[in-house]
Amino acid sequence: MVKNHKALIPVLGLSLILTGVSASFVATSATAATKYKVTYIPKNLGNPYFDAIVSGFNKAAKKLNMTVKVVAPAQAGATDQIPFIEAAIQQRVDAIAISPNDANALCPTLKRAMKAGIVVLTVNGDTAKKCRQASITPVDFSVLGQYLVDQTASVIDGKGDWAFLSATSTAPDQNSWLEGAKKYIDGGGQPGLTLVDTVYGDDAPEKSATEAQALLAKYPNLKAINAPTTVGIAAAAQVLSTSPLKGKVQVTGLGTPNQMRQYVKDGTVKAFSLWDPGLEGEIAANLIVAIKAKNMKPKKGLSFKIKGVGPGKWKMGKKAVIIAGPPQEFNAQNIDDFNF
Amino acid sequence: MGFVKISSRKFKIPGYLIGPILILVIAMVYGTLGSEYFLQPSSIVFNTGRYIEIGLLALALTFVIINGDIDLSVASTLAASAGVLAKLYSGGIPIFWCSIAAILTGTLLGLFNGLVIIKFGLPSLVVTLATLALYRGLTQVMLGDGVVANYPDNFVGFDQRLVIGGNPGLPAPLALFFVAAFIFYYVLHRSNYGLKNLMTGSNNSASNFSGINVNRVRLIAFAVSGMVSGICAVLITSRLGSTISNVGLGLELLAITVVVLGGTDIFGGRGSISGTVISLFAIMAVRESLVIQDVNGQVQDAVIGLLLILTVLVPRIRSYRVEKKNRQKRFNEARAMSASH
Repeated sequence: MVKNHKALIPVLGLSLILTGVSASFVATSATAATKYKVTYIPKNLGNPYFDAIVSGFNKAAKKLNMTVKVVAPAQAGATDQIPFIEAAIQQRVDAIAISPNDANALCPTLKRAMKAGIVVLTVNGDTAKKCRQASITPVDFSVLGQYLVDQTASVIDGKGDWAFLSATSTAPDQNSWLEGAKKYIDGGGQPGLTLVDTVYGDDAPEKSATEAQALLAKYPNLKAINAPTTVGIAAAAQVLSTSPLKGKVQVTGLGTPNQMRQYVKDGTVKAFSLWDPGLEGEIAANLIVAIKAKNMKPKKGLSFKIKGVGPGKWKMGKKAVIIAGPPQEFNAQNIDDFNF
Repeated sequence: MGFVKISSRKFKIPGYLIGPILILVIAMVYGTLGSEYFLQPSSIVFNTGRYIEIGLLALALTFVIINGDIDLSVASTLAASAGVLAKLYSGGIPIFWCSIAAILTGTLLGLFNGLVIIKFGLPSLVVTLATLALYRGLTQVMLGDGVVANYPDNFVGFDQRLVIGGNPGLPAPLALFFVAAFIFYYVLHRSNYGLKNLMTGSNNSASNFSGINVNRVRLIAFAVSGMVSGICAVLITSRLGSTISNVGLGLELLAITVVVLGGTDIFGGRGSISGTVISLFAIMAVRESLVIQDVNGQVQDAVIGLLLILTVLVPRIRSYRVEKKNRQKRFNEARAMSASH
């Protein structure tokens, strides 16, 4: 018996630590007495992209008398978000916003949340329509192909040879954009441009850099490389920043401001794009209040105004999806306004 | 003094249960103090379903581990069984027969593990590490990146049903787990097969020479582990209402954690069903008490890891100390003897 008591000491010590931790958690969560309690569940933590959505949420929450809690699983597995949805239901929050890791596996739990009177929105990714009330998507992906062609034209003044440096040859997003781009070109879009090649860097930095170098060697008249992938654009910019062709061949496409900042500053890159994830958070926070306070029923064709966010009204499209706006262009003038 | 000791021993909680029981109690207190929403009847109903698959896998793994083996492929076996279920269902076969096929698939994959391990005398760690990848890969081939959903309504949501109604009622998954735990308890602690398990694990060759068909004992454990994985495939499909190829990814580690935390010796020969059951509830209480207080996934994992290492370390330190003391005693005696000569 005495032996057993000895065994208890470390475990008891741990329990004390746990109690201490719990006390500190209680202290922080009990301070706010706000009108709207919202839980946002990103795909996982430590991802600057989702941090940007969170800061958009927080920006709007300040004006809306809202507290936003952010909780996320360790892995981005299909079912890892379920415990956090359950916890939010138990805590009787007013709304759950989620960037779902799976379109179907979360459905039963999200439906239960809605049954409990909780507003459920999906942000930057969607589930089946019946599992949430509305969805906020960062950009209209169906016109992105055309956008990429126009973007290329704008950095080389509408004239010259250019190439795509894509992700993997099977990446569904990129392939649909590439297809859209080709359709636009075949239909007479940007006639001054000639698309000479499409290569695949497999979203691996090494492979993307090698492919970019090969393009430069193969096409001496090349004026621009468009990489619609964050890995590819950074790799291509890195290759050109140390090449004698720097400034003569333009790199553009889709990237994040933090990874591209140095190349914009050193003159390798004139402009590139992505969307502003913070906007998704701001729209979501405002939409929650609109649904809760004004009893708005999300459906196609509905539109609403948000003070200080966006130029006009926000419209709901098919399946109650809100598009958070046109792609955001980043250049030497505005890049320091963004941090993600 | 002797009498006192005997009578007190009757009420003594076995040493291996002290860790999990303490964790369970502390987590319950921590959760109750930390959040007013922790102890709600409805939450017990809604939340247990998620843990029952881990619990059932842990029950089956208790046998495998007691034998001195390991089965790392349980989650992949589950996925492959779920894949067969989904494939057949999309082919228009009634869900009942799809479920039976899933359980059969699990059993066959478990048997395959056991046969390769036993017939070729290979370590179970290596073989099931290989089938962990193999079975998951097969699932990927079966399902691709696609999703099978739209299961019938009377099949979906098993985890939200009550066996005994009311508030709090007895949720169906919990009832199933208790029935399974009772069966496994009976087999391990009250049947011949259970005894053979414990003997196989404590000394394989001695058991073999004393007439126990060691290989059969081990093969049965692998087959049962596969069968339970197949049953869990049906449960998880019902719970999620959809199937994708990464279903149940990483579940094997959670299940092994439950078994080891419950005091089953990872080298075999020792273990109990009561340990596994209490350990499951301890882990459930820890996770739920943390998630209700908005603690993120990484921190939850870290806490479980810390608790696991403490529960296996503390008894070790204790036995190490006792051994050291005995050694010192023997040394002193020897010195005293040599001095007297």
